[in-house]
Amino acid sequence: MMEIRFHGRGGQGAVTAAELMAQAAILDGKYAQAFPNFGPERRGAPVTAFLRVSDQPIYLREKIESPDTVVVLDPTLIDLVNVADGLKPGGMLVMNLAASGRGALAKYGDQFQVAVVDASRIAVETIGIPVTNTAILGSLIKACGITSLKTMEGPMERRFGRLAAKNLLALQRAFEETEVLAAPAAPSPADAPVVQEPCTYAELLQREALLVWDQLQIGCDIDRPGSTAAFHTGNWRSAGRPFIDRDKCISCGFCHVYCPDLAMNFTDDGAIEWDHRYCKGCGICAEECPKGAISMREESHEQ
Amino acid sequence: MSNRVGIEVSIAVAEAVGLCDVDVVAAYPITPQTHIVEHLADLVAEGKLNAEYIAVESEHSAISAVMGASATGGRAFTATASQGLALMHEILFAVSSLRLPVVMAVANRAVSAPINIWADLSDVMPQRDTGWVQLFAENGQEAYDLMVQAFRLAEDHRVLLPVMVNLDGFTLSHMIEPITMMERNEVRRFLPPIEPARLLDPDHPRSIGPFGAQDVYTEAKMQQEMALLRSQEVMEEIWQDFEAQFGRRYHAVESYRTGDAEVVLVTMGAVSETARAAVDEMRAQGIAVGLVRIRMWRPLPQEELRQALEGAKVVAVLDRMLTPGGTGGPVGEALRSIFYDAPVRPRIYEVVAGLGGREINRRTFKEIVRQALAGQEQVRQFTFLDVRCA
Ligand code: SF4
Ligand code: SF4
Repeated sequence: MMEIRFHGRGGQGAVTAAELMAQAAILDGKYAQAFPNFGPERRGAPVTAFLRVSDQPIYLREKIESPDTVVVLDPTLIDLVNVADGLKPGGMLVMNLAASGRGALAKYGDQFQVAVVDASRIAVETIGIPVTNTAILGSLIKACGITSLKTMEGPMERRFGRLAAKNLLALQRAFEETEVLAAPAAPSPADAPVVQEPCTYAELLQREALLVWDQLQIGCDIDRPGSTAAFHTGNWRSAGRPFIDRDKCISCGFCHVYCPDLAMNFTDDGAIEWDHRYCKGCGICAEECPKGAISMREESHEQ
Repeated sequence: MSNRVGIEVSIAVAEAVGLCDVDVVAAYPITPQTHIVEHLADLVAEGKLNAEYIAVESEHSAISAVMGASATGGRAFTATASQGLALMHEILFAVSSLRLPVVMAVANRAVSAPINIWADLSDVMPQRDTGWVQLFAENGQEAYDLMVQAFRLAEDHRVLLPVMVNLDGFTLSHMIEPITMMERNEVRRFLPPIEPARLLDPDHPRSIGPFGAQDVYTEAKMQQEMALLRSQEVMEEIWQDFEAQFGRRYHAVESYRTGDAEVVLVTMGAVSETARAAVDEMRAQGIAVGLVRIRMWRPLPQEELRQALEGAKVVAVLDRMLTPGGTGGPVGEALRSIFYDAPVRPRIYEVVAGLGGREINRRTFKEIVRQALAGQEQVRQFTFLDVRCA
């Protein structure tokens, strides 16, 4: 059995990548399982997804603690989360990284195999937007096999419809352009019959729990008013932000009322002001504005 | 003796709640709870009780309203029965999880269908796992006293949990019987004004009832469970104080003539008095029979029950509710669990009887004891004692 963990950001398609690969493996006659890390759904926040592929039926319904392979869709995650956490010694890291960013690999090179590809560039050139989840699968197939480019066609066509051709092109190009870097000899699965747990059960609990039970407030209360102010939901934004057309805006305040994160607020002189710290880019304000004064556009477009 | 009056138990219960200086009562009338809340409404209307009486549109709203009142630091009470308690089910979990010291009286009644307004415990038993302290009264005096004790237990900072006081519908709630009433100043001495551990206060904002994901939910449940388990010793302490002040003594589990008993009956609620009379009659005939009565059902006083029953050859349990498709009734199941690991286990003979108000009298208990002593093997884990068969 091969266990793979995907790292991406909410909305980048890490879960879709795991699903597509699982569907292909199942078409090949194998057993496979794909699932997200079940938690609060948040666009833009770091997320993980999991994939198991096996020749035998899979009787496990737990998160993957010690993956054989880790796939990183977004190069900015390397500084945010320990993507190699629990990765088996000699395991495979499949990374989306521009040529200029290869220095980041130094810390992984002597422990793991690394497959690297500039998936963001390939995605922009083939699909037109930097969504790397299909390109990175090409790298994964190059690095680990699992399925063939041919088998991927069916699941991709079902999933993407008329956009499938572009995505298949991204897959193909990433397969061709992926470099598998010189690596330490990987222990074959047969050499490692004993499951090595990365930490003890008690350590695992310490890692997950925020507070021990008798330190919680009565009834799990939160006694710091406005503590969510420290929680910048603006980090979740990934697909555009609202732009206000001042000539159309009548200061009715609808956007202020409807915004789920209080990211549209009145200034002292009564104008509506957008707050980048909390706007998660949901687009509700644009939908609700009675004057059509709000449009959702790419961040890079300046107002 | 001057305070000893003949009074309907529901009215007495309402008077006890009034003596506790409650701030908010929210209720929806349902038989057989109606007289309790009607009388509270009267007390408020007549200016005898300085409380807010909220006439809500359903039991779901009643429990929600008292939950909110309690969160703002008020002393809050509601009462219900049967389908009304079932409708509250969802909110019962929230009240206990948010650690709000609400007190509720339940006039126990069967649940539909067929539509039946009479006593059994099939309304409260499905609420067993909602995290409330659950007490069962045997007679009017006890129902009256438990109301006052319930507020003190709920509000104790070592507990901070809601308390449910159960009284059998009609056979207890609607009885006229002698009750020694307390004075307001006596009750105030026993039950100090509520001191909320925390409250919704605009000047000191806090969130009560926030989101709690996988990383904190278990810890929250552990904290709640420790408080519920702790409530038993706090209750014992309260019962000692109550005895010192009022002279009446209560325990979580009560034993009657169990010393040399070969068979011990186990009961809950108002049928226990009848069981005691039956025990006396059987003793007079030379049958070595005793009675153990469960007053505190949650938290379950496991050690006390084990000690009370360990000498018996046969434990004869009366369950007034069936756990459909399961292994009997809730009390029988609990006792089997308690004794599973014991070195010496009594035989447990369980009957389900008295559903939907079907009469339970001395002959019922004599028949249970007869069957239990006859060594009759139970085909299932329980017997329907009083069902008509062809
Ligand atoms: S809803 Fe539209 S018109 Fe109203 S304040 Fe917001 S931007 Fe202006
Ligand atoms: S897109 Fe609009 S409604 Fe959504 S979070 Fe941003 S400002 Fe608020």
